[in-house]
Amino acid sequence: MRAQLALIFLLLVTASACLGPQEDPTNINDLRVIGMAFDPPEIMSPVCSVQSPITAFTFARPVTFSALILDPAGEGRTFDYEIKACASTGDRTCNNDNDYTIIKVGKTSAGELKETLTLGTQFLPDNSPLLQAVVEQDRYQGLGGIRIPVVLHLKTDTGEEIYAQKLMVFSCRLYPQMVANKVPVLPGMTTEGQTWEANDVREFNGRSGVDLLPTDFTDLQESYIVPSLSLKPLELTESWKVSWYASVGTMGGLDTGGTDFSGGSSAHRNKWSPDSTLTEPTDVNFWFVVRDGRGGSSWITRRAHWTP
Amino acid sequence: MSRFLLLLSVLSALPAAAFEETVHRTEVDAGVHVPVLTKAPELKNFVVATYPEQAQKEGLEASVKMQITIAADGTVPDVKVTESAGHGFDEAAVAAVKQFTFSAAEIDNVPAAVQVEYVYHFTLQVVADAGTTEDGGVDGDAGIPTGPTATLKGTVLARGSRSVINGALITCNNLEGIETSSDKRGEFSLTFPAGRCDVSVISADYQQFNTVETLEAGETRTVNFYARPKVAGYETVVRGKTEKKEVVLRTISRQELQKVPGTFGDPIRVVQNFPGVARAPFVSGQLIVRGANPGQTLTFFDGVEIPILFHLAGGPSVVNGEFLDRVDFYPGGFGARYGRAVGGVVDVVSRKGAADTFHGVVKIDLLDTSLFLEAPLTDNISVAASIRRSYIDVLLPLVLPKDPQGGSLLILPAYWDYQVRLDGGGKRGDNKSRTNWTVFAFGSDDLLKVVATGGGRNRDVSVDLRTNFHRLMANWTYKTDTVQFKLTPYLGYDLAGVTFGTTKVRADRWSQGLRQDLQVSVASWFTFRAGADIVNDVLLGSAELPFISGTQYISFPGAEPKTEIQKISQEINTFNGALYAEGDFKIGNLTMTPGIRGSHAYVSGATLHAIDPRLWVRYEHSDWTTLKGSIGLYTQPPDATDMQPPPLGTPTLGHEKAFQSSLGIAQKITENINVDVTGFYNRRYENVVSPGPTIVNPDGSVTQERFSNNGLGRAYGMELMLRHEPTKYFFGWLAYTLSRSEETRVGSTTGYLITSFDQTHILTAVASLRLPYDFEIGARFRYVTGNPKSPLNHSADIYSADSNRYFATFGAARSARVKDFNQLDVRIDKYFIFDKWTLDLYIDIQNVYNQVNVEGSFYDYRFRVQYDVPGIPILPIVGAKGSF
Repeated sequence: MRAQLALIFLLLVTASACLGPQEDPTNINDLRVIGMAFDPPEIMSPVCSVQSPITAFTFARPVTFSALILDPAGEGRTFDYEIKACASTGDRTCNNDNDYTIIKVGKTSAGELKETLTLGTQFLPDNSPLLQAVVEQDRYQGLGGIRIPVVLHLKTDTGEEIYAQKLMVFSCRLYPQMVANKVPVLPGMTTEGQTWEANDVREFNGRSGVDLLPTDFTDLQESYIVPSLSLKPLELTESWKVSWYASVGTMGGLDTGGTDFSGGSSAHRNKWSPDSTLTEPTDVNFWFVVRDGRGGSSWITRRAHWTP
Repeated sequence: MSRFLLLLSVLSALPAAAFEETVHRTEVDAGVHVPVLTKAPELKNFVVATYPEQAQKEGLEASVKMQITIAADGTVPDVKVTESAGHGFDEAAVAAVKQFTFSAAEIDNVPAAVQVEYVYHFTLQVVADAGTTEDGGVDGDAGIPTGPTATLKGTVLARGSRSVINGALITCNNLEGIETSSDKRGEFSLTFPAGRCDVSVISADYQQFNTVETLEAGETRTVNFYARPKVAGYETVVRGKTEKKEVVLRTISRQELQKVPGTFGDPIRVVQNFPGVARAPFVSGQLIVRGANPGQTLTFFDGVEIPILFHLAGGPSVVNGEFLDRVDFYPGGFGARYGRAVGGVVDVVSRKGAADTFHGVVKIDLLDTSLFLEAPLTDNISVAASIRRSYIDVLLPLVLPKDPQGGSLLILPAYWDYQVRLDGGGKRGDNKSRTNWTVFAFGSDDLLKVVATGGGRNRDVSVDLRTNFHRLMANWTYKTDTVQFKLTPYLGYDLAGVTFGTTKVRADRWSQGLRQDLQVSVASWFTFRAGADIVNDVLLGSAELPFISGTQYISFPGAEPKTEIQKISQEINTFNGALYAEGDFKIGNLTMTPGIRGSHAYVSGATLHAIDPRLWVRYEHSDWTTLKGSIGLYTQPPDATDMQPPPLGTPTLGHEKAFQSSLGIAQKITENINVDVTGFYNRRYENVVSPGPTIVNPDGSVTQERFSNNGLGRAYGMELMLRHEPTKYFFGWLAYTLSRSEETRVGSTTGYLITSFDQTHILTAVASLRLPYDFEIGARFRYVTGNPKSPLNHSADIYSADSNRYFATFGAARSARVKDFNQLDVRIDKYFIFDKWTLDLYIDIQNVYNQVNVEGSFYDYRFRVQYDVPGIPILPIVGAKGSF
């Protein structure tokens, strides 16, 4: 039965190849949110007691929220935004009645939106603490960390809307070896084997494309401890994923890295290719977003000039 | 002066031969549940027809084909001419045949009326003193000349198959009174005056064979005569007037199994064309019967359950079609003999080895080649065997492009299967033996290996998937006029293993089983059946794999971490024993069959019990009209692997259960055409669904149950089957199902939803027609309501920054449907008949008019646009089959 379902899925995937050209997610041509991050990505209480003032004090720490908003077709327009937090991780728009709180509202435009938030002290409209509500709606009741869903809601004058969700992790040191997560940072990028500095506008020529590879970050991937469902400490090692975007042309793949279900890891080679319809030289912006698989994320950008 | 003698050669395939197929069924029947012909009628009193005077004067000869009804007392109350000869031949033949008397035929050892096809030959012949034998053949010694003689000996065989022809008339047309007929081995001996003999061989179902033999005085010559069948590829099937117990039992004959277009001759896929079975996507062989999940309909091979149905998950059936006699399909309401299923049952019945001589079939198509051989070993023992091997693994590298990534790409799908069957106690066609035995081994092996490494790849892929199973079963049957006892022990071994990178999972299962069936005809109004059905499994599972995110620890969306590799091993012991009993009580035209099946199962330390009462009622209003109904409970034990301790399973799982009911009417329209209309209501409860509940324990640990028995389902509807039984030239059916299937879970706030395979209207028309010049053409047309889907209601992009993926916004669940499905498939066969073998070249064209059907939906990455996944376009498949 499962094998048959797998075959049907395979047939569907194969058949999808006959569907014709679809929009490529690596090409940024309209309003998108491609990255969201908290710094720090995790707040860890040294004690595992919700009644402890230490926990309350720790969880009341502010965090820096960032969102990478791109709008190449918007010509510098502004749009409304609100930042909401809610009780259910399954509520991806934070719109469930009486289950969310609005933390920030304002106007913004494309670029990096930064706000300082104090999530651990938020209350829902019924005056119940948000952290407590999240625990109550969590099927694991907070084991493995309390994950507060934070949603950035963007709305333009033309009616375009985006709800982008990011989880903020509050945890406690269940085992002495546990330490809070840190923001993963890509150490750099290379093109055709050469380092590509942040302020270096590279010249790309021809239609054969350009090979890209992040600077090796193997040693930056942390080992960490989580509780298993039976409360035994389990050691895991981060396996970062990098997401690749370009303002012109497309990347060979959207994501590289990570670990597959069999435990196999992946390298991070990728290739940028210009649009086949392009005939004039143009500037190309690149965005590389890294995720560590436990809530940490950041991004770097690069610029290039392409000539046919 | 010469005088004319009417030589009335009775059909070569006189009842004894004509019943060959049915008798064969008796012996290979997997159980006692299907009424079968246990004794063929024999002609006791032959009456010579009066040769029509005018036709005699004009020198006309003719053959009149009739369908005759032989009553339970051996008389012939009804004769219908099916191929008229005119000139008064029809009337003469009918008048004579009505005076025939036969020994009584028996169905399930009880005298019963049957129908047979019969051809009466009127042949003008100038003879001296030839006498006629009792069966209408001519005694070859009657006209032995007194001068120097020669003797022609030989065998009359069917051209193209070498099957022996019994009762063929062999004459010397240029000599008076020289004739004989072939015996049951097809052998004859004809003595005539030395010199020339203009030989004619005449037999029903075969074209007249003519040749010239010139023999010297005293010479004895041995020859083989090959008579050409009038219809290529046809096997005589005699329909006994069988009594059906189940409300709906649909039997697919060997002839139908191999010729339904679009099914590639696959027996399981043919079942999909019957009422009550939903259309599966693409060419998948899934059986979705009356709203039940595919896993809830069981498939047996000669009564023994087989773990997989298709090679490579959706390829050809693991059962070679050449090895089959028939397929019995119960969409629901099946007898107490069957259990462990809450959907339907498919019982594939294999074929006993040939009784006459050595035969075989070689089949070649794009995927595989198969060989089937059958032969009698002694008078009482026959053997049949088949083997099949795919060659996709050989052909694929020739057509695959070079690895686009510049590395190494290897895709090796391969499969093979085998069946070997040894029968004793009587060859096919011999129904006199009290004891029969069978030893039967069959199995299958699948391998799929995919290796993609190097080049520009970020991730090397190495997948090795292997599944196989082997079964060895024996069967011993003892029968008298009133008792039939059958014992079937069997052994099995299954392997399922997958290696994906560093992950290895393997499961070895050893099984032992025993089936026992007893039937006793206690009185004319009461027949009792009872039996046991026991199976014991030992499953050894082992795995080397990373800790499982979401199952052993709480996952975070996004990049999966690296973990240690853990080693897991499990031994799961399963015992499942069942006893059943049922009885047919006949009160006039009413037959009531109450039955009960009790089972006791032991799975991984858990004990499960079930008692399933069932009842069938049939009322035969007339020979043409029958009313029928059924009601009963059915249970299916959960899979043993689903009952492992958490997090891999849920040890407290119980039986899946179903209440099934049906009410219908069967109406015979003509001798060959019948219609069956059945309404049904099924309710399934305590179905196994995933995931199960998450339980937070007092110490803070979490128990994640993988499954629960919280599934509920119901299905109701009406099935119509208008069927033309297989005849020499035609078979076909029109199947229509109007139904609704729904499901939900205990505690659900949304109530019942239609299932993802709910198809309101399912119309299937199948027809196959034999044409002149040895052509055969078949067509299948299907119209099916589109599968349910949830409509896409995009108003805003919904994005998860942690997982870097978007989520869709759908309208009400399954509140829309994909486009209705319609498709025409055509199959054309052309037979080339040689003396000793027949070549069948065929083309099977799927989707002849290239209809763009929808098999699923895909979305752009932001779920703004929905794309339909097209079904298969026009797809011709050619193949060749040689049989000898």
